[in-house]
Amino acid sequence: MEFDYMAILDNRSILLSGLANTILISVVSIPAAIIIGVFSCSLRISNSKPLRAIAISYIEIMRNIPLLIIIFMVFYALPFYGLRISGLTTGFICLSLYGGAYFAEIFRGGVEAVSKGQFDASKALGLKYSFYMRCVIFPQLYTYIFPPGTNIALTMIKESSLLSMITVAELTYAAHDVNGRTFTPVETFTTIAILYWTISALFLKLTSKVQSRVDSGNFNAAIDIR
Amino acid sequence: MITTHDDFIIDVRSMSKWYDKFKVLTDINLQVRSGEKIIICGPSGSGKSTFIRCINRLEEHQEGTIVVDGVELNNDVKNIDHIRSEVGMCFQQFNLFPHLTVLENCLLAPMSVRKMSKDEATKLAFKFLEKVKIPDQSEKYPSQLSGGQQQRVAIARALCMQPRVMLFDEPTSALDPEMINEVLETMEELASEGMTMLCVTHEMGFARKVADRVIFMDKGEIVEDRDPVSFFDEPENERTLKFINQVLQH
Amino acid sequence: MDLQFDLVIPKMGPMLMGTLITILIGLVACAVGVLVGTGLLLMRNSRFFILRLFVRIYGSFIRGTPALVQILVFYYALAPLIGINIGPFTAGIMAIGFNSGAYVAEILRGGLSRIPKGQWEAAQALGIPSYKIWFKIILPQVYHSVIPLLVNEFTMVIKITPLLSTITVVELTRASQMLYNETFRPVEVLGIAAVIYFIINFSISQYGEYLQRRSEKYRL
Repeated sequence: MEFDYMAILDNRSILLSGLANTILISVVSIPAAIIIGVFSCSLRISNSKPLRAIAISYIEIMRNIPLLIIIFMVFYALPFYGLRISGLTTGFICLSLYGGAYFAEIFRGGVEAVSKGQFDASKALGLKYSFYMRCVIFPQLYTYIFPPGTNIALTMIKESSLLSMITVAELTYAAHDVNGRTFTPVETFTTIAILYWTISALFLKLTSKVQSRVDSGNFNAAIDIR
Repeated sequence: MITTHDDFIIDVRSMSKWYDKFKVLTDINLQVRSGEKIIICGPSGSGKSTFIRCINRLEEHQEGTIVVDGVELNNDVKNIDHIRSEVGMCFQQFNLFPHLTVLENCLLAPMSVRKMSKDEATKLAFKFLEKVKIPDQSEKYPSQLSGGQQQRVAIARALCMQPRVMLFDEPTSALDPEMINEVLETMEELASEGMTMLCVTHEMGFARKVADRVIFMDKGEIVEDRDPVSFFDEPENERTLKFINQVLQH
Repeated sequence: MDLQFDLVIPKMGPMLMGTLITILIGLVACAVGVLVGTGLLLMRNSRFFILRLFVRIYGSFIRGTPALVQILVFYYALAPLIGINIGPFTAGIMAIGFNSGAYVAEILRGGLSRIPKGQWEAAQALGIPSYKIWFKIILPQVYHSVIPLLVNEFTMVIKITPLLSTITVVELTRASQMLYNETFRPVEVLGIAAVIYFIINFSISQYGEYLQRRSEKYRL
């Protein structure tokens, strides 16, 4: 079987714009999800029972219903109620809400993992709240939430492929498009698999760099204070 | 002393071992006759555990020879398998298999290595479980037993392979004080039946009672190798004296 | 616009069938995942560099590409390329199983790292050959210690089964699509599907958490 390079090369503009859309969707949704995550995590650990209940039901709904069903529901349901939004906007909303629930759980896990003794010890040493949060609690919290947080962000990049099902022209949709024109499923799907693989590898490289920089940054901050 | 290797069940000659560049055992020589009971003691980090773990190849030595039951330990897997089936071992942490019952712990090796039938192996297992005085616990899981009982099961498990030599690596160190005696009694009984034993332990009372020879190791070397009476009463080496005084104080 | 479940509920038969298919796919794919994961674990611990390298590349690929793309590659590219003609159902199960395998391998690796070294040493001292040490002593303990996580993995697998609707497997999502194309009531149909998925996943993950708590309580 011949590998038909031309099918890919001739349609590279479709694939590249799909790739750009995938990156765009990720770049917007991931920060949105982190913000939603912080917000719903603070509801989840608040003292108010109704707020906790709201946060828990949001988190559990997002974690237990497949993303595709959520996407379909938003895509088909909103027009029924007269709200017309584009597939791309639907994608942003669903992906951010979906990731937000997972981020919320990760943040909660981090807060619970930093032991109460650390707070007690900081207070006993007479450290100021803002100081010990910055120099004692956050660095520890950070080591608990960064690796799983990276994973969720990566999952979101990958899950953006589901938006192809509601005709958002991201990378997977572009592949279907090219395949429809050229009937070269082997070439197109292998190509986008490699593209996704590359994005993931680059993303992981980037995050590990950020992590090491922040780690050493904390170290320097601790020295500066002296 | 010139002898052929055949006279000794364990024959270690000029054996040395390194962890990377760090030398942990230096020029170890030890000859053990069938039926001898040897106690090995020494401060922590002296290499005594490493030494007996070399005898069944849980650790690899780099220089010298170790001959067990006429078979030399080298990279030949056949030799290693043979020696491991002839040498039983008990560990500080017992290392019973937690997902198997006491009886299954005892059956596993005889059935899979010796290819015994289940009936035969069961009969054998009960013989040794009776010897260590816990036949009635055979259907329990290790986590349901006390530390002393677990160590006795571990002894029975090793005996089920009907080994010619038993190695003990600090068998009572992980036990609560009230359980030490039940294990030592089991070991004494085993010794009285003529089992060849190499035992790393700090139980000096036990050493006096059963040992034919006591070996003192320090910094990876054998410092003394003598009968227990003269070992305890007139040690030659200063390091030995210091160690004995420290241990007996407790 | 009002919800009109009465138009949908009498025609729910295929959706219930789809639910059963979803659960069936989940079970079989999970079994494939455990087999693949175990294979990867053994290869990872083998002394051959090439096998260890394969495990790394495999894991990197599965984690680095969307499950949807893996399913498309498996169904449209890999299966025809190696000349096997399998239907979408089998291809889908295999693709999900291979996906799950990489994650199961990680779970098993975590379990393996908690098995004390003494277990190997005791078994070696008894002269038990290494393949028997793996299958009779180490793996049973590893599986036992990760049961809650494997239960959780089952919910992960259930959550990617809707992707099989793209390759025309009539599981719950596809059955729902067919129903709302017929009745033009997507909100009601998808709502019912969402509830069904929620019930399946929520009950399984609660059970997983119960197992997790229990295993922590009884840990030695």
